[in-house]
Amino acid sequence: MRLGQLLDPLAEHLLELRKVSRTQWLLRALGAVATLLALATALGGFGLFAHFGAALLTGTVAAGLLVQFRSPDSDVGLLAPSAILLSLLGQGELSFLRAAAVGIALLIAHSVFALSATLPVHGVLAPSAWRLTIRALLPVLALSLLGGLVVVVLSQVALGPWMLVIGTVAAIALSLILLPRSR
Amino acid sequence: MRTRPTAALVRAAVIGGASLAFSLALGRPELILVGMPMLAWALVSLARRILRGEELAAADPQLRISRRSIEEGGTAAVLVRTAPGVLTTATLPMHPHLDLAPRHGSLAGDGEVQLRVSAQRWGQLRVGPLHVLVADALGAYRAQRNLPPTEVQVVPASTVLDAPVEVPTPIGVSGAHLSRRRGDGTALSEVRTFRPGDRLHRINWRVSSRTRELHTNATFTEQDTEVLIVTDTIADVAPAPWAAAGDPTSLDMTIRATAAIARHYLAAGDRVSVFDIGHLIGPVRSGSGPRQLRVLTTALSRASRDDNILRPVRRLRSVRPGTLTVVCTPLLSRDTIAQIGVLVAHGADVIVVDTLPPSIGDVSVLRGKPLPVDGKVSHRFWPEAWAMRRLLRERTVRELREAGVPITAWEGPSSLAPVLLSLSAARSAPRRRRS
Repeated sequence: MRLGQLLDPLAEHLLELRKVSRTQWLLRALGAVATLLALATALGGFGLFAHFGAALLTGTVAAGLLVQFRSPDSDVGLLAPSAILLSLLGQGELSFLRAAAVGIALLIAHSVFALSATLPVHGVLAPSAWRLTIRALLPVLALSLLGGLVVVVLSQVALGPWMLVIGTVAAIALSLILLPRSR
Repeated sequence: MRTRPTAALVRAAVIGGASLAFSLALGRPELILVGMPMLAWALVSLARRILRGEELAAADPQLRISRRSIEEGGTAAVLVRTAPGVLTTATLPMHPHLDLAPRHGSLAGDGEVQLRVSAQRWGQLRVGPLHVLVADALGAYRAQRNLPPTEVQVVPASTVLDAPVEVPTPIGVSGAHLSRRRGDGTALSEVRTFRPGDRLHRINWRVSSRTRELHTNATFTEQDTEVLIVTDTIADVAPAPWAAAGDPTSLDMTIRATAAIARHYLAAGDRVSVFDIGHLIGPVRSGSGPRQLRVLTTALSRASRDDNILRPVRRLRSVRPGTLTVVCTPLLSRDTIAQIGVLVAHGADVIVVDTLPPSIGDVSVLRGKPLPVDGKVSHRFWPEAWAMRRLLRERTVRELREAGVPITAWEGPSSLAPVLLSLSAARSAPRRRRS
């Protein structure tokens, strides 16, 4: 087998990368960095490969991220945030601040990947599109902040077991409202 | 357009819902904070959709092209409009002779997107199909549609010829060219004695008072002429592979030369017609003025380059003697050469504009110098074959020159000047009668 036969397809793939627009590089890189930041924050004081569990989690997030980086519209994009959420379940001690930081990092990653999916790989976002997206994200941040404050305040109040029923009903209602019925 | 939820909405709903559910089930309120931002993202996108009334359908994209007809190198704007607050992405496919801005032809904007297309080659250009994707500002819902392609006419760039407007044999009754016939005009031919019938306002009073006899100014008449442009579109010879990228083909050169010559003579007030041997353009009847230029450039731009149908060669049976006939041809077809002979036999003043790409038929290969293409020397001997063909063509060129047909290679606006000057000089030179 000639060396050229091996290198030519690789070179072609690398040349294809020239078509990827700066906007897409920026959005996808921002998404990847934010996800890794969320992972690092979720792992807390541990390193990304501190123990087997951490390494497994890092591997899972990296695999999901790799797929999402290549195809931001993929359903596999659910893998990285789910793995991070599940890793937090296993941790006994989780401060409100760390949970909020993970949440904000996940939101950034999620938003930029969602925006990236509205463009082809060579697509460019005009300044008007950036303004529109930032304008639309402001209510999201405001609602997150408000919701977070409510959670922090209510967490100090001791509520009865009946709240579990109301909470479950609310969660089911929210899921019914938000989850898309057809795609 | 019916919008559908995206993978991002599913992601936000699942992560937000799961964090809420785990928080409730495990009694750990801090877990809600992990999914709260994504839950808020999904709620805001849903609320925006309901408030904007986009549950059933999003605004239909409207396409508008700023100019349906542009010149070679000109730019037209492709405008796609939906509604304010809708993230609109328009994507045009790449085309070999089309430059797009942004470079890869895809742009997203707020309710309105403007792409620019610049045409590098004449002809009928198909812009599209245009892919339009509309999404809400967060990318939670989207819809897409392909808009059908639109035709844009690219008229060949007609450079201003750097050539004299004199023609060898003016044959009209009025116009810009000086004829050798005396009559009403502005150019002085001689001062002669007054004859009955001469106009009084032409009396030369100075000469009359000096000579004590009435003298009058005689003038040359001014005439227009008929310019016939014969185009050879039988074959489109591409430039050699080793030529610079973007070099014109023989058809490009023919069309550009035709446009430039027509513009030159129409500006001088002459009547110009086009006869196409290869059926690609179709005949353009004789006419003058800016309207004729428009008709002609439109006809040239309609010439389809992708049509590979071989049609019979058209022949021009007769031509008015003295018609200035410019034949734009790569001089490869026997039919064209025969047609030149017919035109000369009918008494037309024929000039041949050679439109064979100069890179074709480099004879250095015959002297043993290989011409590599992409670093490889072809074993199919195409360069050698074309070199032989050019040498064969040289013979035709020589024979035509010997028959009194001037041939000039099309090298841009200054190509015709020496030929036209020499033709005019040859016509006005004294002739020796042959016995």
